[in-house]
Amino acid sequence: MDNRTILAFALALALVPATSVAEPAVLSDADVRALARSLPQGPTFRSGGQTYRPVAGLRATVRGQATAVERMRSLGAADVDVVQEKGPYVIFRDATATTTATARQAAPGADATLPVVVNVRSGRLGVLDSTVVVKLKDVRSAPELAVANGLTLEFVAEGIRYAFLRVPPGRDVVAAAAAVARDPGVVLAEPEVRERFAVPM
Amino acid sequence: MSRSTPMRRATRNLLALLATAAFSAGCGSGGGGSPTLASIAIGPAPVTVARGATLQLVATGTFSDGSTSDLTSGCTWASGTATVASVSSTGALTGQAIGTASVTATASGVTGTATATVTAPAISAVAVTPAAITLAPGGAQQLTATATYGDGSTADVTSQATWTSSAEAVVAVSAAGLATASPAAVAGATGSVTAALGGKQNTSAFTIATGTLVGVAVTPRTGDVVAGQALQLTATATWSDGTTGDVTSRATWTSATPAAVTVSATGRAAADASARIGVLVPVSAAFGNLTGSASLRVVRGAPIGPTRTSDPLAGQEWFLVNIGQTAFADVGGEPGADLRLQGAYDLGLSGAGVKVGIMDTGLEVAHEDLAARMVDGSWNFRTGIANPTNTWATDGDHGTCVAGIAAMTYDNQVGGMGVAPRVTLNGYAWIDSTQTLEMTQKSLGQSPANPRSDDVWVFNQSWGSSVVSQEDVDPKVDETYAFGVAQLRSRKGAVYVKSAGNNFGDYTVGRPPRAVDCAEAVRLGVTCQNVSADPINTLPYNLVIGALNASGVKASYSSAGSAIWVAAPGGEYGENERLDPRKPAYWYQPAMVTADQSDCTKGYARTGVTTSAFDAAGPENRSCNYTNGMNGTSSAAPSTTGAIALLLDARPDLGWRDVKHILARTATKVDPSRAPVTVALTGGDYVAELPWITNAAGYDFHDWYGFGAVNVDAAIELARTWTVGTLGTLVVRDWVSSGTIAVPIPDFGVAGATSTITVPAGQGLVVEAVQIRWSATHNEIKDLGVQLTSPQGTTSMLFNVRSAFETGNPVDMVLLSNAFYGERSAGTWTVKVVDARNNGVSGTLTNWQIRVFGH
Repeated sequence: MDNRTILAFALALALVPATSVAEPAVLSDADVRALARSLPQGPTFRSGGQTYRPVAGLRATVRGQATAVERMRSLGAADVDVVQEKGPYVIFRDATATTTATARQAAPGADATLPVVVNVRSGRLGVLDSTVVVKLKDVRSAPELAVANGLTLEFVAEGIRYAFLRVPPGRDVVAAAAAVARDPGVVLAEPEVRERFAVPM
Repeated sequence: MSRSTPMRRATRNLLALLATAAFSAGCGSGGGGSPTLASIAIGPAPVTVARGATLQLVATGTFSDGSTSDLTSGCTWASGTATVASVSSTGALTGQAIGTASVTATASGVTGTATATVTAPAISAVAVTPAAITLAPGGAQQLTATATYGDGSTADVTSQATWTSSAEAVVAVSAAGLATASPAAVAGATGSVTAALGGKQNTSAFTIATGTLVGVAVTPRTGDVVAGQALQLTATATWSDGTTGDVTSRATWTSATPAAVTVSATGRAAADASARIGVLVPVSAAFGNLTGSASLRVVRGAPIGPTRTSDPLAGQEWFLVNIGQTAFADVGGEPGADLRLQGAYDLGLSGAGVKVGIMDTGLEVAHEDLAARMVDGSWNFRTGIANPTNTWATDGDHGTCVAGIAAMTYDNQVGGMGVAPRVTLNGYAWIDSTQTLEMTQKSLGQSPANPRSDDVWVFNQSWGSSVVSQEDVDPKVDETYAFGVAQLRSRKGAVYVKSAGNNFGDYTVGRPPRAVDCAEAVRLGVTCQNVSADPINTLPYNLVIGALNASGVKASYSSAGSAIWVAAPGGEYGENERLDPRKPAYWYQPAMVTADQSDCTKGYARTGVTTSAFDAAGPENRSCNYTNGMNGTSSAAPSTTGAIALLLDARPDLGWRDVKHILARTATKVDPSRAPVTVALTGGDYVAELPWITNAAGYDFHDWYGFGAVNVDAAIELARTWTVGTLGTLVVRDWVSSGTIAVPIPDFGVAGATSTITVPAGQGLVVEAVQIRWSATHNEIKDLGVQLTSPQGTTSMLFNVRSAFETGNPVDMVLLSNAFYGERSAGTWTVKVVDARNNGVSGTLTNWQIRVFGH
């Protein structure tokens, strides 16, 4: 698919009128990949053995008990803004979304909307959770590491020496992970991307 | 005071009392004049009466002037203990029971007291049993003396009687009545033993046996002894003249395996608490020149099973014991096509002491058939509370059904019974959460609290990824499993059980669900999604389980692939054709009967269901607390989890690799004549699905079944003699790479692309699993099949052609095969990639790598 085709495809998606439907139109994985390619993307970063880029123009939210359409309406978005449902997340178009990997909150305590990323190899979309996953040389350093980086320590898996640090809304998760990774007590630090979801078998 | 007739005595008593009353009334407290009653004596002294006999008591009053008077009929009589001695209003004392009682006589405020003693009545006869005995030289016989009393009652007076023998040198008798013949007693000698008591006596005639000792028997001849408990054995000697005698305490007892069972000098067989369950221990009792023997089996407890329980639905659980029952579907399955676990149940194995973690959509902790299994440690990742009950789903909670298959409570008069009905359970409601890495690690053993997963023995993962494009394992998840098998369960390793997938013939992806195009796979007869397409299945730490139906062959939906370890019951659909017609026949075959969300407003079973009468609040399921429609490799996993819990109940010391090995070694080869699937390509036929193979280590393997169907009884039998440590230490070799290569993959050509990698002899292992990682410039993965041939000549199909993958090049795609288990890895491995779709797309194999797990 050449660039003109991609642009036309993206425009077509953007111009689909909003309607009141119970379920949004479903894009195939191929369509989603094409859409992602058409959108501005940020610098690469690694997570879970994969390489990702933040994607502008898309955001994600947790659907919860609501349908995707209901969730869109609660955010003031249109039904047709839904791009893909991925596990508990709804990925939707948001023209204000940039390639900065920050979670946004309309108000303290409100559900955040999350940055969307693309897997460079597969073209699949993922959701950038506001968590930095850290492999430590010594788990006892986890609280100090969190404080030093202005993050909240959520959990330490002592056996395998992982710490989970929460990034507050408004801060760039990728940048936060990079900052943590510079600590000499850190073996690995990377943002958590939610790309694959298990289903009952 | 002299004795007088009753009438005269009564008249005198009356006069005396009247006089006393008149005196008292007339003199008051300061009066003088008439004598007053000073005391009462009760006679005749001592007051003794035999039990059942009556004695007339006499009350004699003594007055202040020293005179006496018979007050017997004018006083009030009472007994302090009427159950021993009762007394009438006229002073008649009757012995009721041997003992003493206080008796009082009261008149004019004065009370006389006596102690009445009730004695045994006179013995009228003494009997000795047996009346005649025959003793071998050195033999002994316990005799019993029984007294008959005057009141007709009898009592065992063996220990009170005086025992004597007419010939002490021949037969001596103890004070307790044990008659013992001298070892030097002469055959044919006679005499008698006498028991005497209360002036009566009787005898038992004895004869020294003329026969020789011909046998010693131990009873029970075969018996079960519970580990940590004891069983009394009896040794009985038999002589040639037919005489028998209990020689338990005189025999010399021996256990062939004293580490498991010891036998005391009195024949008490005690099984060690850690004895191997199922071990058979010969024991013997030597007496004279002969020895009797018995075989004891160490068991965990009383036998259990679907025919022994009060659980009303247990008989429909074909996966436990398949007798062809329908499980409320339309047709039954094949008798015997089950987990083959009745032997385990006979040993009392039930999973007690094994903690199972159910990582799923939820777990209804208050369910009537699961509540008793729950222990602290569950967690709900969706709601952030310690209760994993699924409150958001109204059309069925998958996790509750899964838990039921493994663990429904035994013999509680409701529902059914789980495969291991005494395990303890935690539920981790994870699937409907955001499934973050933190949640995943917490669910897989990394958490000491909220949830408590670090003490789980068996993790059940009835989930997977339905994918149409390449996915990869997050190395952090790989690390989580690796830690769990190495460190949990006191370094024996937790056992991770996982569903293979339900994507053989059709499946959906995404939300709303989108059907995947499986037409090519269905036409060819191969799986639409290979088991290795779900990357978690390519980790050798997981036991990946395929599903069997009630006929004992692959369930219609069960995904295939070389990453399967074993197969277990998962069932079909359990529907009723009259309610939901026009479906393929297998829809009306049995599914699993298990727990469901409680009541008829929610769950797979609820009011208004139109597929199954049972699920629609049928007469056997009025509460809707159970379903007969659970299926999937989701069901095969908890079947296996339960089976492993039984195995660990028998052998808690087994490591996770021991468990894998034992299941593989003992699995049953099912569907043995399954033909290979071939497709004609340019240059010849290509085998797209291999038949059963037997690898160079002697293991049978098939991509539908792994090593075969789980066989619990065979596994426990092997475990009984299995030595922990046999498998050595797990070694994970580094990846060995082909380097960058460029081997053409011709379109639709049977020759395919082949490449070899040699594992040096110094790097060789006994294979436990093999992973490959491959990359190609071929944009249609679904066209491609990947097979691997070992140095010992075994070929395994790691990825099948004509799957449902979408367009895209394979890049470092990881596949796993268990088919080489037990072979040696050193030597040359050959990979072959074949394009089996004639669409003009060809490509190039650019790299492949191999990694061996083994010892």
